[in-house]
This record gives sequence, C-alpha cells and structure tokens, in this order.
Amino acid sequence: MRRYYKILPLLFLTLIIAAGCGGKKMVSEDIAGQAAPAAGEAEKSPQAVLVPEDKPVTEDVRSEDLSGAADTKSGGKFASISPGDELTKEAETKGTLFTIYFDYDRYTIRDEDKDNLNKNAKWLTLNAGVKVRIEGHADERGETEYNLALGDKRAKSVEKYLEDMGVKNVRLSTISYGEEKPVDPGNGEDAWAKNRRAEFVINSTN
Amino acid sequence: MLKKTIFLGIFLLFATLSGIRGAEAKVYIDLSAPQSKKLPIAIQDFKILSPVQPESATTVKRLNEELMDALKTDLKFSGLFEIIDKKAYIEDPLKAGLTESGTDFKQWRAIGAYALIKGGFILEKDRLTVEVRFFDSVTEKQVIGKRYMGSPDNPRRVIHYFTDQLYEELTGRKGIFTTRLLFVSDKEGNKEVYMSDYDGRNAIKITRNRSINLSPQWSPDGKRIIYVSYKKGSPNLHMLDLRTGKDSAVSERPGINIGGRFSPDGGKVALTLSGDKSPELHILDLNSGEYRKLTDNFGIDVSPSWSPDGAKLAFVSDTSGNPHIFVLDLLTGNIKRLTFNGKYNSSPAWSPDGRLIAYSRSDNGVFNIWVMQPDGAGSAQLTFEGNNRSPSWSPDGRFIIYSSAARGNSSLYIMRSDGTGSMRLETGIGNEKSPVWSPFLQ
Repeated sequence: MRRYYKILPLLFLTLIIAAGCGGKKMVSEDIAGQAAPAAGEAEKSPQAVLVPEDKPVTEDVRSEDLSGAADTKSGGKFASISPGDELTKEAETKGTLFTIYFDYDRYTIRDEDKDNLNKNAKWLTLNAGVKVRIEGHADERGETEYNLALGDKRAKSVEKYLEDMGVKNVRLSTISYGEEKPVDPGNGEDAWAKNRRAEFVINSTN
Repeated sequence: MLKKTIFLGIFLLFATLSGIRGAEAKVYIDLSAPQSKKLPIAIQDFKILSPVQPESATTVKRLNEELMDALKTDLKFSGLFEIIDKKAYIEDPLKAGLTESGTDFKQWRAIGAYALIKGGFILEKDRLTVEVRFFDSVTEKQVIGKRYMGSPDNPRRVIHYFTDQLYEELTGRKGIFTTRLLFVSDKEGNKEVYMSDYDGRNAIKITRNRSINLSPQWSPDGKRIIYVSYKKGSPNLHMLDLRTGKDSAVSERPGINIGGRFSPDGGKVALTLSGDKSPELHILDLNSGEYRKLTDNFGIDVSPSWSPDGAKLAFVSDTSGNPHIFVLDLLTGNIKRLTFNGKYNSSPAWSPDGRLIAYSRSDNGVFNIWVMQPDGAGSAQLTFEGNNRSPSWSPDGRFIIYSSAARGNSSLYIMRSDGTGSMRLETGIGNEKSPVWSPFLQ
C-alpha cells in the first residue's frame, strides 16, 4: 500500500513527459483526465497515433524450391530420395544394405553391427557403379541441435568405416536428419533403439 | 504521509526545472522488492463510442471481448495487479463516463479497487480507435490516458501498446507486452516456423516450404530471423527478412549448418558446421562472408549462446563424455567447463543482464530448466514437473519461456525467472517447440 502512494504524482509527471517526447516513435496521444470523450473526437484528432499491425511478411514462397528433401546435387535418372524407394528396397531384399544401429548418445560402430557393415562394404565393392547416401538419425531424447550433430557423427562414422574398407569416398555422401525422421514414432526404448541409426539410400547406379 | 507528498512535490519541481525525465527519474513500483501484495484493480467493459449499425453488432461484441481479454492477460502477466471480478462492480456503466468527472470513485473504492481502467472505442470501416485510461481511485485522478488507432483485425495489439506504456509509467522499466515469440510446430505435418505475440496469441506460420525447419532465432533488431531449413535438401542456415519476405541462404557448407545465433551487434552469426569432420563451432562474419573456426576436437560442439557483451559463447559439448555446458572466451580462446552434474546439459541461454545462464538438464531422461552463474557456480533448478527444454529469456530478463512435453505433445510455458508463476500459452497451433523470445520490438 505504501508503495502505491508513490503513483499519486503520476498525472503531472505524465504531462511533463508527454510534452517532452513528441518525436518518439509510436507515442500515442495522451488524453486528459477531464476531457469529455465525445463520439468521433479521436477521429478529428491528428495526434492519435497509428498502432501498426506489423504483421511479419512470411517467407516468399515463389523463390522456393518446393521439391521437399530431393537431393538435387546427386540426382540423375536413378535419383532416390527416400529410404523406401524401389532401388533401395531391392538392395535391402537381397540382403545387401543393412541399417546400422547405435547406442544412446553414441556414434561409434558397435561390434555387433560390424558384420552387417562389412556386408554393406562387400556389396558396394561388387556394385562399383552405385553411389549411396548415408543418412544419420537420432532418437527423440535430447535437444534438436545436439541430435542433428549426433546424426551427422553417426553417418560419418559409417562413411569412415566404409572408406577404411576400401570404398571410394566419391561414392559416399552423408546427411543428418537428427531426430526429425523416426522410423518408429513411439517412445520407449524399443522405438528409440530403432531410431538411432544410419540408413543407406542409393543415389545412382550408373 | 504529508512528508512524503512534500518530498514528491519538490522532486517534481526539480524534474520540471532540470528536464529530467525517463526511466532514471521514475520508479513507482519497485520491481526488485518482493511483491507481497498485488494492487486490486477493476476493468470496466469497453464502451462503443460510435453508432452501432445492426450489421456490426457482432464485430463490436467481439472487439470488446478481445480488448478485455488482452488487457486482463497483460495485467495478470505484469504481476502487479489482481483483477476484481466484474460481478462486484457497482457503478452503472451506462450512466458513468470514461473520464475523472464521469466516474464515481467512491463506488470503486467501496469494492476495494485501488485502480481502475476504463476505455472506449470507435469502429470505422478498417480502422479501430481505442482510448484507454488508468485511474487512481484513491486520489480520483487519471494516471495515464492514451488514444490509439489500429486495425479491427488485431485489437489485442492496441492493448499491448497501452500496457507497455502503463508498465513503464508505473515501474520505470520497459514493458514486454509488444514483444513476440518464434517457435516450431509440426502440427500440419512437417516442421515450420511460427510467430506469435508474447502471450502466444495471433500465431501465424512464417515459413511455408514443406521441408523441415528448425531452431529459429531473432536478429538483435527483431527485423530478421535466422533458422535451419532442409528446403534445398540438407540442413542449411537461412535468413528471412520479416518486413520484405526476402529469404536467403546464410550458410550452405557441406555437412550440417545449424544453430545460428546472431551476435549482440548483429554483424556475426555463431553456428555449428561439420564439413568433412566433426561438428565444430564457427563464427560467420555476415559482411565479409568469412568463417572463423572456434573449436577443434573429435566430439560434438553445438548450441552457442552469446554473452550480452559479445565476448563469450556458452555452448554444449560432449568432449567430456556426455553433453555438458562450456564457455569459450572469444578473446583468449580459453574454454572452461561449467556443468559437472546431470547426464545431459544443453540449450544454454545467457540472461540479458549477463548474470545467469539458463539451460536444460536431465539426470534420468526427464529434462528440467536450471540456471547458473556464468562461472558455473550457484546452479538452481527452476522446474520440477514435466519434461522441460529450450529456455529463452524475455528481453527484460524477468521471464523465461520454455517448451514442456507431456503425452507426446509439447506446449509453451512462461515463468518468472525465479521459476514461479508458470503459465501455459494458448497458441492454437499445437505441438510447439524451440521457443525464442524476441528483443524489444519498439
């Protein structure tokens, strides 16, 4: 209550301040306490200041590439944009390209995954015209940005392993999707374990 | 009491003569003092001051509701007032006026209202004129009265302007009621960036590229945003000018280009690039286009946050095994580890006054918001329920916004910087994440 009494001189101070800052941006018109608020009065008053909507202009869609996640750099007629496409499925059904899984918050290749990764390396050696993209993913726990980095590290761990196995660097590319593309949208260790992965997508076969 | 009035009279005389005005001369409600009592305030419904055509009756009703709702939201949020229920009001709004002389202050004092707000509006085709007055019902004087012209499409905006001015009059500090938020939602399928008022209302989608859009951040002048987008296939940094809609790529290096944060002077962007190797912190000079590499290790370095003086960066690194928060001195290049407890510490956010760093910490898979001093001392937990991440400070440092997940859905919450008074925001969008509070926008 005591503090509130300090408001008392505000009327006068408001007038002093209002008189002194006419040039300030967005200062609205002060209205005196005794003034009768007749209808239309504000209309006549030139000082009543406009409150801009300042609605943001949204992204200029016309300048947009709307082709979604298409990898424009490594396209060609066999361009593949998703893990579910036919080329990739074909390779998968032949047991040739395995998805590699990771422990939580880790990006080292686990011993139990090395067998599958060796098979992937062998398949790539036998199919020398094939270029693949390795997509690194994280589970939904943790932060968006850290998970993007984690996906990047996972994809690069797999890439490095394949290079060490003799697969030429030019045939490999990587991308991280962080936690943005889970295969299992559920939560719980079963879903998370499936989502911490590096997938192979065939970019081109010529 | 008499002594105080005389003192204030002298003070005012001095203020008039010497021309002192502005924040340094007025503090009527001391925000640093503990707020034991809130001021009881009454808010009378807005009066329509122009003739109501039958076809505009619905609009008039909606406008009053919007104005009242925005005013109540702002006053509650200010933490200064307690709004008295309308049912208790005695004064007949049809007979009473909107000015001092038209108000029977006895009737307001009778219901315990120490302060009173009255207002009216004039509706024309595409213009809404609103006048709002704040009265001291003890002295029976108007403390502040303002008239605004705005759009009937956004009456809340007018109120936010008023509350900013009221708040500054009463406390000597800038209000945050005209500030805005950025956040991310995947409610329409893919993640896009949204912008809303500080209270979550008036949310609109501002990216529309149907790829994945993440981590929006404000430029220091609030006119541009920087964000991560997959719209060209891989995670690159883009900048969107909010006035022109011009969108341009800021960093499109191989690997990830993420976590862009404007330097306090707006001339540089701290970001993480992975290139051929590990995700490392860099600074991109926006004028020269040159990159400066800041970290060099096998691990992950992400989520930089500038100290307000631009001399340091807090960031997240896993070089000690798990994600922890470190601080890098940009002048000396020295790196100091700040967190040692918890299994996962991330999202550092330096407070506007530089005295605290907010962050999210998990010990058992559930995240909570914490603060600590920039030297790592004095860490304190602010949230205790839910799964809370991505803290961001209001530009006055009095509030923190964060996202809180429950049952697969994430919402935005605002709390005071001491962790009290958390309030869920109704954006009307759904599954909102990665909130960031704008700088002062006026």
